[in-house]
Amino acid sequence: MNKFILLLIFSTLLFACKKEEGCTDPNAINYNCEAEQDDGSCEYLEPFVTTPHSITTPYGFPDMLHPTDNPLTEEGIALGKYLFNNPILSHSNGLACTSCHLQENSFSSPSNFSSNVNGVAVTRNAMALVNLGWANNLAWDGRDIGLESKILGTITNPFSMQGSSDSLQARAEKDAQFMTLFAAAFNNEDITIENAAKSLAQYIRTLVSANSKFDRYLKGEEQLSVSELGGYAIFNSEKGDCFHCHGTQQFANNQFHNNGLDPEPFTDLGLGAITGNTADNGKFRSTTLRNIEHTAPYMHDGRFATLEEVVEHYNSGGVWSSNIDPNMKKVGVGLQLTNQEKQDLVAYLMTLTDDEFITTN
Amino acid sequence: MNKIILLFSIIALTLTSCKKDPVIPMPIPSFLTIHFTHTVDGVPLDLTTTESELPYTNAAGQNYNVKKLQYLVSNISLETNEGTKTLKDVHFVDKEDASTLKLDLGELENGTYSNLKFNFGLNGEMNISNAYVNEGFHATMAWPDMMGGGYHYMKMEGNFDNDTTFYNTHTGGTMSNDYSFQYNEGNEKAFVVNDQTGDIEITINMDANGWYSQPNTITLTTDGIMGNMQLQSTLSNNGSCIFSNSVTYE
Ligand code: HEC
Ligand code: HEC
Repeated sequence: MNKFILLLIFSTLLFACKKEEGCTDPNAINYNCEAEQDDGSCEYLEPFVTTPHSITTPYGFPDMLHPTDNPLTEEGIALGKYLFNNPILSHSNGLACTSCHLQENSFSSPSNFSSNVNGVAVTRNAMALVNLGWANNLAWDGRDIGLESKILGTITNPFSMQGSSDSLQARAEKDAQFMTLFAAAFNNEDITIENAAKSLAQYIRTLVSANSKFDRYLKGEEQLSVSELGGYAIFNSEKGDCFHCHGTQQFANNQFHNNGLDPEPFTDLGLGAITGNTADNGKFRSTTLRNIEHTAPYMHDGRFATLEEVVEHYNSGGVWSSNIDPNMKKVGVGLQLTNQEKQDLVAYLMTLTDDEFITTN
Repeated sequence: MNKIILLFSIIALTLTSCKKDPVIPMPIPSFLTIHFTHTVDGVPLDLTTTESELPYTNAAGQNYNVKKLQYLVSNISLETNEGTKTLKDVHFVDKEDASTLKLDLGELENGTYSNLKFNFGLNGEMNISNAYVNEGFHATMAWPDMMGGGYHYMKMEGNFDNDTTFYNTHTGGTMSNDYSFQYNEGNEKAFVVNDQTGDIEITINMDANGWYSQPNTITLTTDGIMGNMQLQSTLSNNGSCIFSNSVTYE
């Protein structure tokens, strides 16, 4: 009997020594469910990685606004750029973002009202896309909060591109380049317009303009002419008062003002249509003046063809309405600039042009 | 007999229960909140949205309204047993934005507090262009480099005389001068915080008509004043007389 017990112990010991070896990690591709002892042979799938992209904050700019669920990646930006220039997102008619946002126009449109997917003219001037990583209330009237939601709205809006995830998927299958770019950016996530909007938002955050003649002047790298300096002084003092709404290194406060374009009743209520507050009627966003030389025509409806006309508007003091901004304090009297001063102001506005931004990217 | 025992034991019980565990009151924390309020000659200031209403009258006899009131206060502090306690470096007040009218400053330790102080605007050291580039007020309050740089101390705007004439009372450090001024309430409103004090509310009131009326009379015009050092200095003098504060305990 004792012998028997001894044998039993012996055999269990032996058995234990004979434990099957293999890969014991259930997350490995060669996981062996029989294996009891890991022998270091586990092999794994290449993890999905994207390459983070960082943007240097230009002098005098705040930190960029970044939604945490859409960090900048090289792959996301590449996909966004592809989508921006490709009609794959629109319902039909071959409309791309670039149809209305042309790079040589600082990503704005040279026509007052561009045509939408159905060939119908939209009711606002297509905005320049400059330094939007620092703006939160988007569109002329601030109705969209954040780039992702603004872009998603443009893709789906029947008055714009009228696209959908279904139409995108149908076209994507025939577009090998899109498939490669999408997989690199989003791995095996679904092909949706939400993901498309995320990548476009990333791309638009990279459209940073901060290398104009004026920036180089501030760094002491270039001189301004006498006329440009004259304009600088008008812009930045209460003589022209431009800085109150287009100030800081961003040349925008991205807030909403009535700059005296029209008398009441307003045909386009602007911010008032969004908030429902009559005190907001006729207020529009004061956007950046960077690259303004290239974004004609001007204002939300493209009413002014040239910068000279814009300056003439402000010089007139603007049109009084019950919502005109108190900073338009020379309404009725006008700024009373001389012809030379008006030219100087235009010359200064043209120092905000960033040629690199218009040509490369 | 039984009744006597019962009575006795009840009395004994009540007696002991009273003597047992003398109730130590729970210490309560004291949270400090500062409120910013605005009056015109003692009447609460209302921002007007229609130009035709001109409810206020300044010392020069001009009727006016206020459509916008925004300003910076800095180095808000209280004096304590251990020295000066800075409560907030810079605070932006926008009459239109209720969230800026209330400043929650957290818990106060036990002690004696006095001499509420703050600077209206930013002193020369703090008033530097782009110093607060990530603050919400940066774009609203920035003051052009050409006129000395830094930030507006205050923007008070509205109509005067009639609905088409606007005044812009914009104060700041014209040509890098320091026109900020200190409010120092002195000792009268000293308060003690102990375990039983509860929350403390301090109200800082600006009587806005004072900007134009005391001790110097200022006449509103449609001209900008940001480059006018004489006016900036006069406004600074007037401003130092228009604040008051009160302290209340919960
Ligand atoms: C049919 C012409 C058209 C097309 C196509 C178009 N846009 Fe626009 N975009 C506009 C107009 C017009 C506005 C101004 C909207 C408003 O204020 O109502 C605008 C505004 C914007 C803005 C807001 C800019 C700001 O400063 O607030 C962004 C961002 C934008 N578009 C991105 C895009 C992207 C990305 C696409 C492609 C998916 C696109 N747009 C396609 C016409 C167009
Ligand atoms: C009270 C605020 C305010 C002041 C002061 C002001 N602007 Fe504007 N500006 C705006 C607003 C708001 C818009 C957009 C209006 C619209 O489209 O309806 C605008 C638009 C513009 C545009 C056209 C932008 C575009 O993309 O189409 C230019 C150029 C411009 N302003 C230049 C100036 C100059 C130069 C001055 C000084 C003489 C000045 N502004 C003063 C608020 C202001």
